[in-house]
Order: sequence, then structure tokens, then C-alpha cells
Amino acid sequence: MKCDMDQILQQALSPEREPDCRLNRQILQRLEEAEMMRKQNKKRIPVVAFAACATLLLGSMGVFAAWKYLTPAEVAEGFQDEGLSAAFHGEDAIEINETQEYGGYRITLLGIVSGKNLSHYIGTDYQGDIEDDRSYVVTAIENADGTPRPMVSDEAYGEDPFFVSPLIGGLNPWMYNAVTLGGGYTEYIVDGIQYRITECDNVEIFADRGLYLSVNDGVFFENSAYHMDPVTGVITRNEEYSGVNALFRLPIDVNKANPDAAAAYIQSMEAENEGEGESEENATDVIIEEESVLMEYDE
Amino acid sequence: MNREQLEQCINEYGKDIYAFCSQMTRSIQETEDLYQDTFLKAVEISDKIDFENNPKSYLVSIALRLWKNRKRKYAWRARIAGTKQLVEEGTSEETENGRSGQENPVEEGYLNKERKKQVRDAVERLDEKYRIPVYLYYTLQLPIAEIADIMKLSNGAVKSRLHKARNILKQELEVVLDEM
Repeated sequence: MKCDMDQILQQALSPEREPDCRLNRQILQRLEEAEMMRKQNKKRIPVVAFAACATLLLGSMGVFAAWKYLTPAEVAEGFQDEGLSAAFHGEDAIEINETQEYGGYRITLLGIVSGKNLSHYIGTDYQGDIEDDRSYVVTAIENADGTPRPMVSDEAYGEDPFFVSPLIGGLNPWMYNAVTLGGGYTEYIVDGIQYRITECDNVEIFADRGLYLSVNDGVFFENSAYHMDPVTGVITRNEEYSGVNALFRLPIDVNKANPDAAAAYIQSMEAENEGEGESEENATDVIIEEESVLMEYDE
Repeated sequence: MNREQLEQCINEYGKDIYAFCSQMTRSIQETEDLYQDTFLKAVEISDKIDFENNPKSYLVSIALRLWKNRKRKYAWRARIAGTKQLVEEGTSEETENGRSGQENPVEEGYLNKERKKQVRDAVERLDEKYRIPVYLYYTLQLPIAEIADIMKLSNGAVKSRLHKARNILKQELEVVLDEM
């Protein structure tokens, strides 16, 4: 039966699909574009204008004219999300309007709101449970040279993606980011500006640890773009990183922190990630099983 | 890693990495995304990869890490066409948006298409800690030691999980096995 089972599994699970040429060409193309963008960004600022643009090269932080952008409530309205729009009008919403510029892009953090059942749209997690207690962050992304961002329907859309994520002080950003915090986003382009609403599990419970919002180039969190001090837990930008790595503080009231809920959340996250190592409680079972099956498999 | 090295990597390991990605994800879109991101991440950390010493394991590790980080549902609600579902064998001509990924010619064997689907579905229902070593062992045909290295487990723990997985599948597929 063991041989039959092995044969059955090998036949059933053997690869039946291959990546097609288009997919592989896209990978090579993205590599070339990333290299080209690095070269173009370096050339973009002429030497003559260096002094005038010095603060921009280093990354400027400032409050740009708020009138230029849609408000977070207006962005939510654009998605026909009346519930979220109303939340952004409410007293729990925080309007921020802080801009940073890196790598040829201008990133503006417009605002954040958190709470239960705010959005008109109901999301579920991978287990099918309703996600009702969420944080919503609204950002605006522009090309620093003033050219419009590509529309969603354009072919160029998605060629220079960004990853927007809340980060939590003291918690490894690779493990705690928009993806692992049950995140998602929606976005659209208005007047050449890319507006995005990023949502995830409510991060207010971590308010006493220090909360941040990162925006880096690429489709996923870029570990090399940021540092976390292992002692203090403070997260900072890596100044040597050549791409986009904006980092904002989220000014959430520390009184909204819930250390018990935060500890429970971390525990459940760690339990979910278990499986890359044995836990003590099942080590004994593993040892007993080892002795009985050690000779069963050929290495 | 330069373009030539990346091309070589894709040529040598692309099929296996794609196979692993398609087992872990639920749609063609997610498979393609995970597949692309695996190689792009490999380029980013290429100085840490010893290409003389089994890069396939590194690539599988990267894919597994990326998948684990995504598995808490990074929901796409952008105004983009809907996700294409992985096509079942025999229904490929019914796909709405065309296909990505090429199918290999169907192989006749004593395990026909329907049985294969039943077996695959049963494997998909396994707990993740059993499912992943099953894919690594049977789909990618990796040796135990490499699976252990990728999953950060001992060789004995890998064997134990494979053994348990087989027992669970044997029970689930009892009827299927009896008919063969």
C-alpha cells in the first residue's frame, strides 16, 4: 500500500502546468525597468539645479497645500463608500496631509480612521470570518515631475507599483505589515494623482508602541528600505536605499492602545506562523514517531 | 544577479517554482504574481544566494515565505478584471479570459483525471503543516534534507509529517484506493 500511495501521490501532484513565455518575459522586463528607473532617477535632477533641489533629493517632509488633494472623505466617496466617507467626517478621523518625496515620487499621507463597521463593503478573512474592526489610511501618490499617474485602464498601470503599510514599533515589519495584518487596498486616479485607501486590522490597539505608515516601491514590503532598532523598536528609513521609502508617524492617541488585545493578537499571529520549527509540546510525539518511521523513507 | 543569470534561473527552475506556486495558490492570477515576485525577490537578495549550491531550495524558500505572508488575504478590490480560476482538466476550453500557463500533454496512467482531482482535493484539505511537505516531496521531488532545510525542521519531523499526511490521505481516499 505504501508504494501504491507514493505512486498515487506522485502522479496526482506532478506538475501539469508550465509558466508561459509571456510571464517569464515580464520578469525580465521588470528587472530591466527597475534598473532603468534607478538610472533615470539619478539623472533626473540636473547639476545646475542641485542646490535648489537639495532638500527634495534628500526627501522633503512638509505639509503641501491641502486644497490640491481630495480629502479622505472625498476619496471614500469616489468608491461609493458612504459609510467610510462619513467616518472620515467624524471626530475619530485624523487628517494629516503630510508629504514626502523620494525616488521621483511625491507621497502624501492624507488621513486615517479606525473602528468597527465603518465601511460600506464587508470583507472577510481567509477563514471566512467577517473583518469588521479595521483601520483605513488614505494616501496620494504623484510623479514628482508633474506627469500624470497612469489610469487603471492604461497599459502602463501597475508598472511602478507601491506597497503602503502600517507598521508597528517593536514588531518586525517583515512579519507585521499590511499583508499579514489582513490588509487590502483600492485605488483610482483623479487629475493624475493616484489615491489609495489601504485597510487592515485595527492598529489602534498598538498605539502605545508607536505606529507608522511606510510606502515603498514594489509589490511587497521592502525589508532593505527600513530599519528597526532591536532595543527601542523605533523604525526608521534606510537612507542608503535608492528607491522609494517614505515613512510617516501615525499620530494615534496612545490612550486608544489596548495592551491585552495587542498581546492576544501577537500570540495568534505567532501561533499561525508556527510550523517553521517544532513547539515543545509536540516534540515528544515527534521523537516517538521518528523512531517508528525513520527507515520508511529513502533520502 | 544580472539578466543572464536570472534567465538561466528561470530556464532551470521556472517549471518547478511555477508548479509549487500553483499548488499553494488558488488562481492563475495569484500563481503568476507569486511566481514573478519569487524571482524578483531572488534578484534583490541574490548576493545571499550561493548559485553553486542548490538555488532551487532558496527559490522555494522565498516562494514559501512570500506565500505565508500573503495568506491572510491581501484582498484586491481595485477596478481590475476578476481573478481567473485555475482551470480543471478537461474544461480548459471554457475559460473566460483565455489561459495563462501551458498544459502538458495528458498522460494516460492507471490514475485517471477524476482520481487525480480527488487526490489533489484531499491534499488541499490537509493542514498546512502537512500539505507543504507533501507538495515539496511529491511535486518538487525534493529530498527530506532539503525539505527540512526549507521548513526549518529536523529530518525526523519532516518524515513524521509526511507519514501523518499519508495516513490522513489513506483514510480520506479509502474509497478511491479500493476502486483501483
